Amino acid sequence: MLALIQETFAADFMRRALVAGMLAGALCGYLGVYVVLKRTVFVGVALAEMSSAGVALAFWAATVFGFPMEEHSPLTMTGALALMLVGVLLFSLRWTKTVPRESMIGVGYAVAAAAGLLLISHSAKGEAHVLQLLFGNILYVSSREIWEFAAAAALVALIHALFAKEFLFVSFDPETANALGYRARFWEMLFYLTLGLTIAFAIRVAGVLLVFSLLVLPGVTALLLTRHLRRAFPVAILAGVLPIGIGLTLSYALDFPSAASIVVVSFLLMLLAGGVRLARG
Amino acid sequence: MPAGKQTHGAPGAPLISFEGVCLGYGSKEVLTDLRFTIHQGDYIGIVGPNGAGKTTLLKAVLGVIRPLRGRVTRHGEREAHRCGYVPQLNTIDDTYPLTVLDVVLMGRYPLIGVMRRPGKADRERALHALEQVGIADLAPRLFRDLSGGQRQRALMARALASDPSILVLDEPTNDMDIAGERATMELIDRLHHKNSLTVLVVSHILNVLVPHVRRIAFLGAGDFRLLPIDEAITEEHLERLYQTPITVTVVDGRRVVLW
Repeated sequence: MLALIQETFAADFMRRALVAGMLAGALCGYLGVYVVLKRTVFVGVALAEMSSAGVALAFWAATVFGFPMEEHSPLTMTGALALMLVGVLLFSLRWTKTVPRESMIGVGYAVAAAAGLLLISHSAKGEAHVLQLLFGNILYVSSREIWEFAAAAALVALIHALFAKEFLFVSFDPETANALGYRARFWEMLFYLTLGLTIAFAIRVAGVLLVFSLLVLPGVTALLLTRHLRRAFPVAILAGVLPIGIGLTLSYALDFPSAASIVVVSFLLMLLAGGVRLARG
Repeated sequence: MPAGKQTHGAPGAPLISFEGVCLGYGSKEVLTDLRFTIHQGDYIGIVGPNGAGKTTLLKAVLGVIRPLRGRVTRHGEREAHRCGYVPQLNTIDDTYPLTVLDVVLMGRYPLIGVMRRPGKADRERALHALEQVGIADLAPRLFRDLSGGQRQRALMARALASDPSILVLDEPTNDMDIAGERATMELIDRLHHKNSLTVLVVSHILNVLVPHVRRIAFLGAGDFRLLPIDEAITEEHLERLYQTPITVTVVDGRRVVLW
């Protein structure tokens, strides 16, 4: 077993995949507890879709205006962050009382998916890049992308460490938080901003499918396994990190796609947590 | 005794005054020309059907919404009119695995300030608040596992943990059986008398409030006027308000409204 692990992570690109994946797993796992409890799991996939549409927009703009477009052009990240911000505004504010906020998530997802396809169809190199974002290949992650992601992750972690109680209060009982002087809308928007920032950087290294899975499965696993919220957060981080190593090892040994292998391991972990929960009664 | 607290006798100093206040959202006016003052030691009931604007009025008292017209004046120092808020039970999310103590500690958050964590003193204050509502033994239990009545008490403890001068309660007896309703209202009575709290309580059921409050106002039935209970709960006044025959009787020393 140890030999298999050593062999799996002998190559640089596999070690980079492990680091990037664990970073994404830890951060998405933590945020996923909120995402699951707030019943906004589809905000994750919609923000991811909007970020990838932003990348498509960058490739389209480069083609139309004749910018040189390299693999790690800051333009792609700018596009991803710009559309992520649009998504945060769209999903965190209640624009009208006549339609539920959830419908905006659907609108954002559908329009971003369609816009992404339209934009890459008229860009020179965009199709391959955006398809990689959508389905992801964590094995192609570069050191530079990992460092950039780590910087964004540190910022998100700092914000959540400083304002943990504010996020919790506003998330649990926004009405009373408002009554006690908190600006619930501000804190909601800040939360979605940290979520969007995480997603925009994480999909670059892990792809939409894996990031969405990491936002949902570890959170559910943690809430099944633990009885108290304060324990759910570290367990969710662990449940986000653990399947990365196991999934990558299995994908290497059995020659399966890496992201899908990680998702399956994460799902099996969730089933195990469900079993433990049932056994406890 | 902290400012803003008075137990008995005539109403004390004014805490919050509404002068010709119009409340609403955007261009939609929900309540117009509100004129009343909450005094130290008041025990006020607001009655009205669903949709009459009770929650809107509470939000204005709490300072969450600003008046479209008129003026809301908060007298004295901030501590004098600090409100503890007990929301409707059905607005609370029951999926969060938070202990009762975690929930009550939230009442301390505004006093602790941003970027700081609750300390030992905050935990002690939260436990004391739980003692005040008689459920100190439930502190380590999960909030979501409690009965409706116990949850209501936990939310009252959270409001008390914020060291309020005014306790504001929105439909505190909703979805409760008779025993739960009675226990909740008696607890509010006790907090008013024993802890010298000014109380503002809202309900859509008149008979829930009548035996307890000292002043009452009716929303959605013509003029909004805060009247002493003896003046408000008369057959003549209620028949004029509701345009229907009404009987006011006294059972076991409690005033009861029949229709």
